[in-house]
Parts: sequence; C-alpha cells; structure tokens
Amino acid sequence: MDRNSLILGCVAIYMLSCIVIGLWAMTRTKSSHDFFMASRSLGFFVTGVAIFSSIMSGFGFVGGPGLVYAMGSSSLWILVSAPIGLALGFFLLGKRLRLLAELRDSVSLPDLAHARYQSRWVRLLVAVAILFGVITYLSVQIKAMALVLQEIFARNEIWGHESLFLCVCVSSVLLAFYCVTGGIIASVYTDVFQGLVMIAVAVLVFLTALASVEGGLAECVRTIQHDDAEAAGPWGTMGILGCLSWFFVFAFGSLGQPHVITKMMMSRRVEDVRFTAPLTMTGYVLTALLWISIGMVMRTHVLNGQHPDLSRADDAAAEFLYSYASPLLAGLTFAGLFAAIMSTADGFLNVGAAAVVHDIPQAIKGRSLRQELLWARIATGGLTILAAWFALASPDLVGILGTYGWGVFSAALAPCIGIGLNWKRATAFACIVSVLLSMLINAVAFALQLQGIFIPYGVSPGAVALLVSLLSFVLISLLSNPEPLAPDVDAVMDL
Amino acid sequence: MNRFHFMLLCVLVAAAMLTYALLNPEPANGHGVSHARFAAMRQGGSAARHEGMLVAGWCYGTAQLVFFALCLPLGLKRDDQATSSPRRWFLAVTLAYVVTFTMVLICYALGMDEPLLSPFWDIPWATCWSVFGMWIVPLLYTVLYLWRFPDWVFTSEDQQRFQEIKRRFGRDACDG
Repeated sequence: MDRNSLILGCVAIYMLSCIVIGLWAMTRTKSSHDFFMASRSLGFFVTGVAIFSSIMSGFGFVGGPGLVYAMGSSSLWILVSAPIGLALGFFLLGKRLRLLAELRDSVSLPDLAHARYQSRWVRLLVAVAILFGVITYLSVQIKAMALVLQEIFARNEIWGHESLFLCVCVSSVLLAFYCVTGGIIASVYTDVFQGLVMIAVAVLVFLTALASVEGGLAECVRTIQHDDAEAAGPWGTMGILGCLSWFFVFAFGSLGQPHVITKMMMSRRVEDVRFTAPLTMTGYVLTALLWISIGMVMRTHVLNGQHPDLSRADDAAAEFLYSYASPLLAGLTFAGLFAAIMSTADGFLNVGAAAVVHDIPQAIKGRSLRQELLWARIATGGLTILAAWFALASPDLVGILGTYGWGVFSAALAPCIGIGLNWKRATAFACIVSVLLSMLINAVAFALQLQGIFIPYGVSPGAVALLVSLLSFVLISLLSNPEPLAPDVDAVMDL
Repeated sequence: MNRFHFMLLCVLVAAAMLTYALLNPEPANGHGVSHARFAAMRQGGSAARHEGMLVAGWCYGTAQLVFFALCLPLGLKRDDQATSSPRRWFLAVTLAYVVTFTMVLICYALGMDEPLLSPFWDIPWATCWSVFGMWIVPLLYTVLYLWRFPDWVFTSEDQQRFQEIKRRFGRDACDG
C-alpha cells in the first residue's frame, strides 16, 4: 500500500468509527434532554477529555501551525492563555453552572441566563449571540476540515486542488450526520475517542517534527532568528499589543465559550469538576505541542530552502505530514486533525440547535417547540449549511477566522455568564447592554475587515469588544439598584 | 472600595492603555510586514517598533493579570472569599504571575538591539519567560483548585445545603 492510500485508509477508518458512534448514540437519545445535556450523566474523565478536545479544534490543529508558520511566536500567547483561561472557567463556572443546571433542569446556557436574570430579553440575546458565534466558529471548523480533505483527495488524485467547494460539502455532510443522529451523546463519546487520538498524535508529531531538523529545536530557533529576530522574540511578528489582546480574549474569553462551558453542566456530580480541571489542562498542554512544533519546523524548512514556499499558511500541517512524517503517523495524525475539528464542531452544532429550537422560542413564546427533538435535528442540518456557506465566502486564514469566532463568544457571553453567575449585583439591563454592544462592535469590525480596514497594531476586534462589554456590564451594574433574584438562584449563589 | 470596584479599575486601566497605544501612529511594521521572499510568511523587522510602547504594554498586561486574579475568588464559597487563607495563596501566585510577565518585558527591553539568548536551545530569554513562565505559573491556580476544592469551593455541608435548597424550592417555585 503506498503512502497516500495508507493515509486515505486511516482517515476512512476514523470517519467510519465516528459514524458507528453516531448510530450507537442515536439508540441512547430518546429525548431533547438526552440530545442537549446527555442527561447529566458524564463522569469526570469523559467530561475532562470532552472539554479539552472541544477547545483544541481545527483552529488549533490547522490554524495554529499556520499562525506559527506565518507569524513566528505571536500565537503562543493564545496557548499561554489556556492555563489561566481554564482556571477562570473552573473557578467561576465549574460549580455554579452545574448546581444551577441541576436546580433548574436547564438544557442550555440561555436557560441559565434566564434563571439568573429573570429576563426574556437576556435569554433571547444570549441565544442570538450564541447563534452569531456558532456560525462563525463552525465555519472555521468546516473550512479547516475541507482544506485538509482537499489535500488528501488531491494527493490521491480523487479530486484536484480546485475542489474546495466539494470538500466543504463532504465535510458538512459528515459533521451533520453524526450530530443529527446522536446529538450530545455522540458528541461527548466521540470527543473522548477523538481526544485520546489527539494526545497520542500530538506527542508523536512533536518528536517527529524536531527530529526532522538537524540540530533540533535549537536549530529551528537559530534559523528563524537569523531571518527575523522579532519572529523568534516573545511577540513574534505581530507585536506586543496584538499578542496581549489575543491573550486577553483567549484567557477571559474562555468563560464565554458555550461549546466548552455547557459541558461543565453535564457531569454526574458537582464534586467531579475538581478532577476535570487538571485533566482538561493536561490534555490541552499535550495537544498544544502539535500547534507549536509543526509551524516552527515548517518555517525553518522553508527558510532553509529545504521545502518549497507554501502558498497558504494553513497548508503547513498537511505539508508537514506528507513530507516529513512516516505514512502511518501521517495517517493517524490526519485522523487526529479530523478528530480535533469534529469534536469542536459537534459542540457548536449542539448549542446552536438548542438556541434555535429551545431558547429563542422560549424567549419569544414562553415555550419550546413541539417535537423539540425532531426540530433539533433539522436545526443541526440547517446550521451546518449556513456555516458551510460562510466558510466558502470568507477569505481569511483559518487561524484568523478562529480568533474572530472566539472573540464573538467572549465579548458577548463572558461578562454576563462568567461574572453574572457569581455576582448578585449584576443586572439584566447591564447584561442586555453588554451583549448588544459586543455584537455591534464585532459586526462593525468584521464589515470593516471585509473592506480591508483593520484596527492598528494587530489588536483583535474581540479584545476591544470584550473590554467595552466588560466595562459596560460592571459599570451599569454598579450604578443600578440591585434587582431581586429568584429565591432558589439566590440561595445557590450563596454556596 | 470592594472587589468589583477594583475589577472595574483594572478594566479601565487596560482600556486606557489600549486607547493610548492606538492613538499613537503605527510604524510601518507595527504588526509585521509581508516577508520579502516567502508568500505566506510575515516579518516583524526591528524591535525599535516597540519603543515607547513597552510601558503601555506592561500596564495593559498587568491590568489583565490583576483583573483575572480578582475574578478567581468569586468562584469560592461565599464565606471563604474574604478570609485570609485563600487570599494569601491567590496573592502569592498572582505576584509570581506579574513578576514573570515583568521579566518578559525586561528581557525584551534589554535585548532590543541584540536578543539575550538563554541556554535553553538558544531561545531568547524574553521568549523563554513568556513560553515557560507565563504557561507554567498560572497552572498553580489549578493546583490550588484541585488541592483546596473540598475546603474552599464545595464542602460536604454545601452539598447538604444544596439538597435542602432543592427540596425547599420545588420546580414550580423555580419558574417564578
């Protein structure tokens, strides 16, 4: 069997496994509660692996190496934000979300926001913000998956390099299939399978990558530094303000990532979050090795003239695997790439579908749709189509599009959820203003970017939106009269 | 002033520093330029692009770290948020975090003409502090979470109180 066929075979086996898990999960999904919340039955190991594999997405496995290749060490600030981001997530939300979810039997984040603020407007806006972010971030995953598939198909002479549209279609159909059939149960169990594959390949790729350069890591650093000292410096080519704005968005913004924090609501026991935290952290640190090593090694090889120039930075991961990894490792890693992408995308589809069929109707009509499970499956398919269109329409790098998607969620949800669930003084009006401002700033920034107008110094629009959103949330809450809370929520917030 | 006033202050400082920086005209290579030879690569050029920006950058970054540290204890049991034991630990880790961040900037400033190389694979010292220091120090917060969870975050009495809350407020009462 030649190299290309072996890689294609590994990917095909992986995809089939996901389909089997999806079908198995379908037999366990009897209600919308199963579909969205897995009946709050997950142990700490499953939850921990599911959380980290949701964070380390196509953005991390395809966009991450691309960012390092293009910008040197700038994107390392996204990685170093993870320990503080996860600490914030577990301290502020681990216990609180789980208790409130059980108390109110909630199936989504807007459900909890409604319980906390007792406002239909808050529920509606949080659901709309989630939808807005889901389309953006899901498109990142579909685009990343399509780019990798495109490379695999081209090398196997199935389709040519001009087949991005077809690859987007294949990616979308596959994603939709196992999310539509199995809902969150398929999602979390494939997350575990995918998370373990990701850890294994990240460590192996890290070692292979460094071995592919004579002189190892030191030679990589010397080559990159010789070409451009700033690229090897702490801020990379992006500069200090751009890096610190990423750091802010990715650290504090982790409190607003619905696909991640919703999983904290699913654990079997409250006490489990204690062990989920270090497990998630370990998984993330190990998989981050792939992000750093591939980008750095590919930059080194291209600078040294050992590898032809890349036309797209996003091709760094695929090029590395085809050129420097053994066929089996390449096949496993491609499966790992798809694992990273699909484990995040399924989470998005799940929270997006909940927003459409559960939260928005609840906010407008005061009740969910009839036949919620059926509509949830239809909504999952619809969201996939919308995100696929966005992926095809957007010209940005996967990594850049990913930072934008993360920023949308961060600015809209981190203040209202992260702080609001821990601060009795926070008001519904403050929440509404902060969500609206964040969406407005992000939408304007995105429209300007399409016109080629960017914020100076590479500052992320998400960081500006998050600062404004935080400022308005805290300031308005401090200046308003405290609002009475629902007695049960009040009591839980005292714990 | 309570915790939330300090949090507001940190956000204001961060916003002010960002605004100040953005009001300065950006140098041509302010956030990198396209590489002269390679299509998809960028270059930062000279470190001189950061002259006059490092102090604002330090204030911006430090305000973020202090803000995070003020947020973290919000997740502790209400009774424990103001007691001295957690406060001491959080203060110690936060101090280490701020010192680490300061070291990134000091090493970078000292090596603006010629980067100071560390003995670790010749990585510049400033990058070493950012990658290893800024990555490892906040892990200590997670160690605290793991270690003190049953005392600071959720005790067995809390579990009983929660069960009592569930009994007291039936599903119907919750919908109001």
